[in-house]
Amino acid sequence: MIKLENVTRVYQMGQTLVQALRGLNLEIADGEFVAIMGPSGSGKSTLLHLIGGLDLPNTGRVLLDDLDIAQQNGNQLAELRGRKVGFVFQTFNLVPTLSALKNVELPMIFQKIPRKERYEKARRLLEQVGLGDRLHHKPSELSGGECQRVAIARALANDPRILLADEPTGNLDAESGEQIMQILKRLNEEQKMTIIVVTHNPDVARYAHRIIRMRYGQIEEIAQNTLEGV
Amino acid sequence: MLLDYLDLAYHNMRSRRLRSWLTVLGIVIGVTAVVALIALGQGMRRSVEREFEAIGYDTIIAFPGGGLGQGPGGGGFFGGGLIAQPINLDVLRQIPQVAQVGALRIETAMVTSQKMEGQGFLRVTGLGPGVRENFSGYFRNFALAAGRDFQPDDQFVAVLGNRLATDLGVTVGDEIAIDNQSFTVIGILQPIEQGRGGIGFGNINNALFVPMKALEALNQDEGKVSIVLVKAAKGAKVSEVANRIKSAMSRQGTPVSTVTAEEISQRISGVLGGIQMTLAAIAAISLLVGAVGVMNTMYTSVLERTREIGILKAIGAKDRHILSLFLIESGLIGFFGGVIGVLCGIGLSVLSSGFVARALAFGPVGGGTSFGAEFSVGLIIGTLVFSFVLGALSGVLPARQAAHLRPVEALRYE
Repeated sequence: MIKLENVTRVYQMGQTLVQALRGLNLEIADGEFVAIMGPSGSGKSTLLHLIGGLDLPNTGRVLLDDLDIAQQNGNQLAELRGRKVGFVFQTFNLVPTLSALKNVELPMIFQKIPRKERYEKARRLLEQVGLGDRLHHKPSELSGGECQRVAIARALANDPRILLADEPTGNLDAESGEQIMQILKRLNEEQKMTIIVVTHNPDVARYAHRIIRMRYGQIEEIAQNTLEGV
Repeated sequence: MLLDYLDLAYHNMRSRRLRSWLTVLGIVIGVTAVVALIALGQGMRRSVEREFEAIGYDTIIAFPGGGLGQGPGGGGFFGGGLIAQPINLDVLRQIPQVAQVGALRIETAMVTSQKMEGQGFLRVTGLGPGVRENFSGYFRNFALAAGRDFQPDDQFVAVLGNRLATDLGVTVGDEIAIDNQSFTVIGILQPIEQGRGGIGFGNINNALFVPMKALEALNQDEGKVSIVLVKAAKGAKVSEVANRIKSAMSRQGTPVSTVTAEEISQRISGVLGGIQMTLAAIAAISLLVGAVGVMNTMYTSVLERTREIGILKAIGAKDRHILSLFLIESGLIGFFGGVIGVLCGIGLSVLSSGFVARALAFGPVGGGTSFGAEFSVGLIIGTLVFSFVLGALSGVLPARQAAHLRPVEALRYE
C-alpha cells in the first residue's frame, strides 16, 4: 500500500521557487497498475521520485506499507530503493561502460548477493525480457527498445514489489513501446507487482487500471480505466 | 564485494583510457624517481659496507700522534701526511684481545730509474713483517702481475704499481734508486681500475712498496711507524680493543688515534643516508604533483559521471558504496602508477649505476668494490602500498563529493 498525505514539494530553480506538488493526497493499492498523466511541470515525475525514495517531501507524509519515507535517513532510503522499488527511466539510464549483464547485476552487487547467484539471476531476467542473446553487449550496441528491456531487467533484479516507470516508452518507436508495455502488464498480472507509469501517451495509459491526471502539482482527476489493456 | 568494486573501477578506467594512462603516468614519474634514488642510495651504502667488510670489521687502524686529519701534513688518513713516529708494537701485542699487529711506514723519497731521465719525489710504503699476510683484506688490491712477492730476508727490493712501473720504464729485475740506494724490482702489480687503492697508500697503480727494514736503513732509525693495523681477537669487542690500544699507547707516551671499519662505515652510511633522504624528498615532490593529477582526474570523473552516480543511487547504492567505488578507482590509478614506477625505477637505477660507480671511484673510500643498485623487497612492497594509499587519498575529496550527491539532482544532471 502506497499512501501520500498532504504532500508538498518545492524546488528552488535559480531565483524562483517552483511548487512541484501542492498538498497532494493519493492511495495506491498493492498490485495496482496506475498511470500518471498530465502536462509538463505538473509534478508527475516528482510524485514518482517521492514514492521511490529518490526525493523527500517538504511537508506531508509518503507512506510505503506504513513506513514514512520522510523519516528515513540516506542509508535507509538507499535500502528502500535497492529492495522495495525498481526504477525505469525514459532515457534508460544504463551504465554505458558495462555490459547488459553487468548492468542487471549492479543492484544485486549493492545488496551483497553472491557472484554466482547474481550472474544466474541476471541472465534469467534478461532472458525473460527477450535478451538472452545480448548478455555481453554494451548499451551502445543495443537498440533503444533493447536498452529499455535491460533497464526493466535491472529494475527487477532485487524482486521489488513496486515498479516505477518514468516515460518508459518516451524514447522508443511504437513497436518497441508496445513490447515494453506488454512486459509491464505481464509483471502486473503474473507477479502482482504494483506498477506506476508516468506518461504523456494515451496508448501507454490504457494499460493501467487507474489513470491519475495531474495539473499544477495537484490531482485533477482520477479515472478508472474501462478499456484496460485493449 | 571488493572484487566487484575493483572490476567496476577497472571498467571505468578502461573506458577513459587516455586520461587514465596520463594520470597513471604522473604517478609513474614520481615513483620512478623515488625508487631509483632509494635503490641507488642503498646500493651506495652497501658498497661502502662491502668495502669495510673486505678490510674486516675486526681490524683497527691506529695512527700515531694526531692521526686522523691532524697530522703535520694535514692530509688526513685517507690521503697522505702520515708522519712516521716511534711506536712500541710489543705493547700492543701484549693486550689480550689483540690477535695480530702489523705496521706500515710511509715516507716520501726521491726515486729515479736508470732507464728514465729525471727524478721524482714519491710516496714509498714500507711493509712491516707479516703485515701482508695477516691483513689480506687491507691489501686485497695487492695482486702481482709479474715477479714475486716479498720474502722475509728481502731488504733492498721493491714492488711497483703498474703505472709507476710504466712511468719509470722498469720491469722485473731492473734497478731503481730510492734516496740514492739501489733497489731491485721484484714484482709489478696488476693494474686496478682507476681510483681503487687502499687506506694509506692511495692509488695502488702508483704505489711503491718496499720492506719496512729497507726504509729503516735509508732513514737510519728503527721502530718508526705511520699506520698500525690491529686485528682484534675472535669474539672481542672491537671498540673496546680500540680503547685499550689508545690507553696503552698513551701510557707509553706515544698516543694514537684509532678508527675501526665499523666507525667509518657508520659515518659514511650516515652521510649517504642524509643525502639519500634529501634526494628522495625532492623526488617525493614529483609524486605530490602526480597525486594532484589524480585528484584532478577524479574530480573531472565525478563531474562527468554525476548522472551515473544518480543511477547507482536509484538502484540502491548507499553513500559508502559510491565512496568506495571512487576511492578504489583512484587507489588503482595510484597502484598501477606504483607498479610501472617500480619497474621503471629499477630499470633507471640499474642503467645509471654505471655512472654512479664511476663517480664513487673518486670518492673518499676509493670505491674498492663493485657497485650496483640495491632493491629490497620492503622497498618494492612499501612503494606499491604507498602509491595505492596516495592514489586513494587523492581521491578522498572527489569521492566524498560524489557520495554526497543527492540522487534526484544527480539524475537530472546533463
